[in-house]
Amino acid sequence: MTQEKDYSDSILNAFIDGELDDREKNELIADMKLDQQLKARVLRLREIRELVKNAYKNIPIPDWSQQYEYNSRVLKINRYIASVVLVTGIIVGWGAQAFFNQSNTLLEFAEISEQNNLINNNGETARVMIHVTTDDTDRLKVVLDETENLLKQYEESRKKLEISILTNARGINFISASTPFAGRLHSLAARYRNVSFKACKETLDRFNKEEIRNIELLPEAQVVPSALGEVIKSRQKGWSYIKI
Amino acid sequence: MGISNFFCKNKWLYKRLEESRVRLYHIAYSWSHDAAVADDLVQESLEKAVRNIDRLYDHNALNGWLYRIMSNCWKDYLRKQYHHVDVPDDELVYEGESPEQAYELKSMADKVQSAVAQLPMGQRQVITLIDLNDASYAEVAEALEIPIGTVMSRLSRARKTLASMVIDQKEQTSGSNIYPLREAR
Repeated sequence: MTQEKDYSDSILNAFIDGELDDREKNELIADMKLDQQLKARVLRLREIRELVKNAYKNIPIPDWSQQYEYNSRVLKINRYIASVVLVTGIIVGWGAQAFFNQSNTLLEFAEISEQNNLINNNGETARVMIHVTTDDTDRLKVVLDETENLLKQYEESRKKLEISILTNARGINFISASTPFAGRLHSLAARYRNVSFKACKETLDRFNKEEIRNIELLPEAQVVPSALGEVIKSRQKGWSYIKI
Repeated sequence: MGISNFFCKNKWLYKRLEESRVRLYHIAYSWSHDAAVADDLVQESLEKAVRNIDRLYDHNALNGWLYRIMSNCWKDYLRKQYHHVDVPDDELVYEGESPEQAYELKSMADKVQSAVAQLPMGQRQVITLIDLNDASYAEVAEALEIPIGTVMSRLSRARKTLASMVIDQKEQTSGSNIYPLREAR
């Protein structure tokens, strides 16, 4: 029989909220396999978490389009900033201007960014790997927006570009069948052949082993043996690398 | 690059503030369960954020900073509304509908909202920040100015209460009618 550990609810909550370190997490997963009661407690807490998450999803949102002073205040400040930026641009020259012209929101989010040939002028293919490890929808939306922009820009300027979106850990949710971005990802993959979506097999296996979540991927997604291996391979081949 | 970074940062922050509005509204609504109060709370929080944006030194900490502002606005609101209430968590009597009536509500979402509305405020803030916004325990601790241990214990109590109220509702109906309601802290 198993040697049952006395896990407090706080520890189990920390587990489902992704707050445990790898060692603690692995120990708990191993114990859950042997202890059905423990597993049931985890599932119950996870169920509550999902219920709370879903309970507020569809509350009616007020129409903020015109009524608030806040909007006009932000607008005024933004106008002020825009005018100062314009003057600054004239003063500091085209260098700063070029900086503003480039869409850098993705890079603002990036934990790591190593750019090799993102901007290529010599006819070679620019290759960018965007490594997604988060399921924060704000960040994922930016990833999608900027990927679309980049693909469009390169298509319009007839430059060659290849983008690989690699996901692991919570990032897997980005290309899972339940992603809120399924429609946009479908159309992106249908329109551009030079973008690919990859999921880490190790993460998928881990989720399956936990028997808590079975991840079903979008049909466009490919499974790669390991995210780390994929990163190393792409870096060796000179891909630009952005981790989100 | 210093000047451009400064302006770019502000531009990015304002964009993020605007994008945070709906998320903040969800949180505000889950705390107040009142559309008008939630709306005011979001408005006031964003105005404070705009006024004090230069005080945000680490722009990656924007979410935690916003939660903190909103938590302070919420405290102010509660002080105004319920300044006379200062009763320990477990002794407050639920003044609204009975649990039986509450569970007559149509959907599971309504039931969960009703159950969340009955949690003591400290627990309600913790569980909604974590479950609705995926905030980390550290972010919640910082936003609410409480130790991480308190975040964990409030979360445990909140989930335990919700589980018994929502999942085990049949057993619950024969229980006590003493429920925690509001706490101005």
